[in-house]
Amino acid sequence: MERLEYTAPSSLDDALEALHANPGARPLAGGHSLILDLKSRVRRVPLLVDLGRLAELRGVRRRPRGELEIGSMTTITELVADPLVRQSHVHGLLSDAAATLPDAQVRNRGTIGGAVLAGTDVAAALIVLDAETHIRSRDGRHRRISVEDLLDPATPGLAPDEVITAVGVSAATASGAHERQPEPATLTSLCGVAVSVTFRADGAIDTCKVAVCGGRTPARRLPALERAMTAIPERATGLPLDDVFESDDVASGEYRAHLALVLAKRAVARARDRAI
Amino acid sequence: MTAFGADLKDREVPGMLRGATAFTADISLPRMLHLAFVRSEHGHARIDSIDTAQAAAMPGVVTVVTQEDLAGALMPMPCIWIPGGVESHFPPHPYGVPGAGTVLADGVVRFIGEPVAAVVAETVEQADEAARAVVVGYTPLPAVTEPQAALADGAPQLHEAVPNNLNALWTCGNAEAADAAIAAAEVVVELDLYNQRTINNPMEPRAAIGDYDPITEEYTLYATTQSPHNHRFLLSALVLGIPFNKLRVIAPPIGGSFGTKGYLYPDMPLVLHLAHKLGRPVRWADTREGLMRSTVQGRDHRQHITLAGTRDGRITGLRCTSYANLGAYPSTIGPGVATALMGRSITGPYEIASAFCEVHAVFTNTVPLGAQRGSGRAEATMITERVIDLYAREIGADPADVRLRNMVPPDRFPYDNGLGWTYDSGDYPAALRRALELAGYHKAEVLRREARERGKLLGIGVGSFVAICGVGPSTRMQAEGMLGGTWESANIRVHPNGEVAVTIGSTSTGQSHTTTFAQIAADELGIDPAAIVVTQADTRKAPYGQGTYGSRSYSVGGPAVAIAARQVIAKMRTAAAHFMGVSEDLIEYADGTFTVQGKEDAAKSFQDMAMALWYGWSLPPGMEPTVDVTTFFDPPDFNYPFGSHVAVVEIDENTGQVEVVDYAAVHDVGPVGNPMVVTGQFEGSIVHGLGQALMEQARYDATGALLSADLTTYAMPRAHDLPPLELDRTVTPSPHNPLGVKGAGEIATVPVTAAVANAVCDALRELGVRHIDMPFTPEKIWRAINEAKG
Repeated sequence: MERLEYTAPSSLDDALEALHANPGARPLAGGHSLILDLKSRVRRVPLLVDLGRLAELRGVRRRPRGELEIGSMTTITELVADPLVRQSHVHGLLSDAAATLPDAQVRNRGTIGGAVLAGTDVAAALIVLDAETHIRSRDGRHRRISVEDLLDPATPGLAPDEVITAVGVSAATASGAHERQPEPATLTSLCGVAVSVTFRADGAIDTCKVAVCGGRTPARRLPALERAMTAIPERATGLPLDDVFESDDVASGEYRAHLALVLAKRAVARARDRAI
Repeated sequence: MTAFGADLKDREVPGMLRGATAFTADISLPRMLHLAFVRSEHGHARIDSIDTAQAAAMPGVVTVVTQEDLAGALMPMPCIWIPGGVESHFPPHPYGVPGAGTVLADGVVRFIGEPVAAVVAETVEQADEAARAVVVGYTPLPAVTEPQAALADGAPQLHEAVPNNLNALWTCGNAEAADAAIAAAEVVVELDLYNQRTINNPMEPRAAIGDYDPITEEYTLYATTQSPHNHRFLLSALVLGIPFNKLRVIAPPIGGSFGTKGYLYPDMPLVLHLAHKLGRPVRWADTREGLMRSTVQGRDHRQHITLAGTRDGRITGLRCTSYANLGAYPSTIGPGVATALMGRSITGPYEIASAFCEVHAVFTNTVPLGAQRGSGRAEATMITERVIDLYAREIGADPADVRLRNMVPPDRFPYDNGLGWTYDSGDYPAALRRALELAGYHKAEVLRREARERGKLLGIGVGSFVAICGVGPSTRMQAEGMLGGTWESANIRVHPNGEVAVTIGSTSTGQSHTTTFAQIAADELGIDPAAIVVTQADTRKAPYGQGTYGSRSYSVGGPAVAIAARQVIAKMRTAAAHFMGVSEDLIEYADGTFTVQGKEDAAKSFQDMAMALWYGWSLPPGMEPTVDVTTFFDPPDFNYPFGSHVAVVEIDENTGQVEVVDYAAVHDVGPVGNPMVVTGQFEGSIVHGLGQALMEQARYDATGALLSADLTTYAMPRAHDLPPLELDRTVTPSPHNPLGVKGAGEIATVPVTAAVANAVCDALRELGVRHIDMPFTPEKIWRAINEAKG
């Protein structure tokens, strides 16, 4: 790792100022991708702005309309252990997604904000929960954008001087679940599928949101899979998913697409079990 | 006595696990400098230029060297195992043995990771930074990474002296007889199999520190070597050209090896040479990423086998052709590992009248090949055990029954397998029957139906093996083409108060030598193991030894300890008789006390005799004072541990995911000195095999770039990947050493891939899948299922 400058501001405003004033500076949350990139020198960063001292970015709060507001620096361990989360409909789904980080040390260090930007399993779960990111930049400017839109490669992502301060999840009653198949070296997901399902009184699926992750493309919704799951999941075969996943050294796009369907069915079945 | 056979806790491991042990890389000598390598980024390229100017001017940099600076100072690295009967086809070393490439690349790089230059600086960071600043101009050359492609007309040529990249075409057995058996057979089964290349990943990567004392003119090498004496000889005589007396080699505690640390590597002579040249100690320590591209890799055979048999299950002939991928250079003993250890082992534990094996050992643009736990024997066992399963299916027989039918019967030992091995002892069918029983083999169909109800395909597979171990008789290894004696040694020194120091020639790389060798000595001496220290791995202190490889430490070095201990007791007995004024034949020795038959009050303890011999006041005529015995043991032949494994797997038909749900393994390594240690070796060995079966694979692209270059791209098994292991042992002593012991450190790796492969193919049989190569990754299984279904 090359030498670099480091600062750990004690207020969000100072952190935002530091990011703005130093082109190329990056905020440091859990550091699980950033530090690895720095070690392997694939990224050069003149200044690291450590968000670890910003207490205001930590913890889970309930907003007046029942929305859960999860501070962006809340660790994955804190998230799934939080009483407000445990009592809410999101707990099953978020626990599933958190468990995709099988190493306790990673869960203890990794944050919800970092997980959103990583665009993997936790992000997929947040997408089907319609989660929204709260973003701040210098001079009190702020904006809100859904996790889905933030990760959409077609939209501009987080600006270099912006910081995610929280992730909001609205109150709802859908039942969620996440299924995935890990890749054995890193234990990241070859393919991960998050679902959020509402059921009619007769047990039929009313609405079903499906988000997938795996490969280089960040987590995103998959309407074809949502339609298939909302119809009769057991009968869904041969969906037009061929170009949805790319191939890489680890797995082919074709296999990932096949897994997406298999895992979506399993996730819906699990969501159904949870709804009962 | 009870020390032999006791589950004594390991003396070294707790410190290693806590990180308290000082490994080679932890050693810090005064004024020590740090070395970093500039490694090739090409699989095959001509070096046009090396610009070191910028690096040399960077902060803290002391020197930058290339091969040009070493010419005349360091000779090529030697290769000391070229199998008998073949030409080495490699440029000769000045001393007549085959060369294995220069210390730093000489004009051409032939594999990714080949060292091109070395930077020495005040700190590790400065050396690393400067190494990045060395500018190497390359002209890429066409590369070849597969042995069969390397033999083809028009293939890129690696070495001028090696036409068609063929290092050796090695054979064993009787080709005519095997062909005749095949031609006459009722049933012929053939199989092509790729035993993929694997990367050894011990916890501790390699490291070396060179030191030079200008007063005594003595060099000292601290290194992760499992053969310090042997490396002392090779480095002083064949690489550095310095007096043997002026090189001391110390192997600090080693955190795993699996065979890789028995090889000479360029860093070893280089740190010594530079320590002399610069007048300061020089340290090099590898990283995980460096290990992946510079430490010898394992397996990598492309095999074709033909089995001949009768309709009623009698195997009559076996013929195997293998293309072994040696990598870019012959590693220290690589060519022997790839040929003899594989080829002579293909008949496994079976009585097969006519067998023949040929191995084409071929150079390619990949990291040099070496040993990996169970090397050669694992590759032989894999293909033979697979083709036996296919044969059993072909004739409609149970694969376990076919094995039992063909195994060498217990009354046939010593058994000459016709390929060069003479099996020593054993009851092969008994071990297989026990493994089948442990795994519930007879319930396979019930398990299969029950799994089907859960949506899983269940398969059960057997792997039976016998593995040559205990290298070995020196004359036998000389006949195999190995330069080096293969005896082992021990020294026992009895202190005045009866405590004992045992010093052994072999070197532990994590096998608990300091515990288990103390047990052998304690048992023979009749004293408490706690009163014994075992030291090893320092050429100034230890008696000559040949090193730790081929499961030889305990089965060749262990007997040396026992023989030395018996000589200690013999001397004490003579002295005790003298002290007690009786004839020596009246003396009995038991539980640490010399007694006289019929004289209850006359007794001398081990401690009494130690003190008496220390003072030396009244010894029998001609007896020298003190007890200090050194022995060398060269066994009459190898030893042959054996056993059988049974794997049960479940496959998710929807995803192709394979889970090993149950695993039974029965081994026979003769009498066991410390069952806990041996069980640990078995467990680790099985995990090693499961890794290769399920996920491990070194992957190169067509240019020789290594795609699996770190642990994010090279998968290894974790605890959650492992099934419960049900282990048992049978005990058949080897007649080839006084303890009757057989090798145990690597043998349990040998049949694992075969057992898992047979189980996976069994599970998929009903879908029409005949064979799949390892590793059994989910996508590969899913594709095989899809293809079989059409």
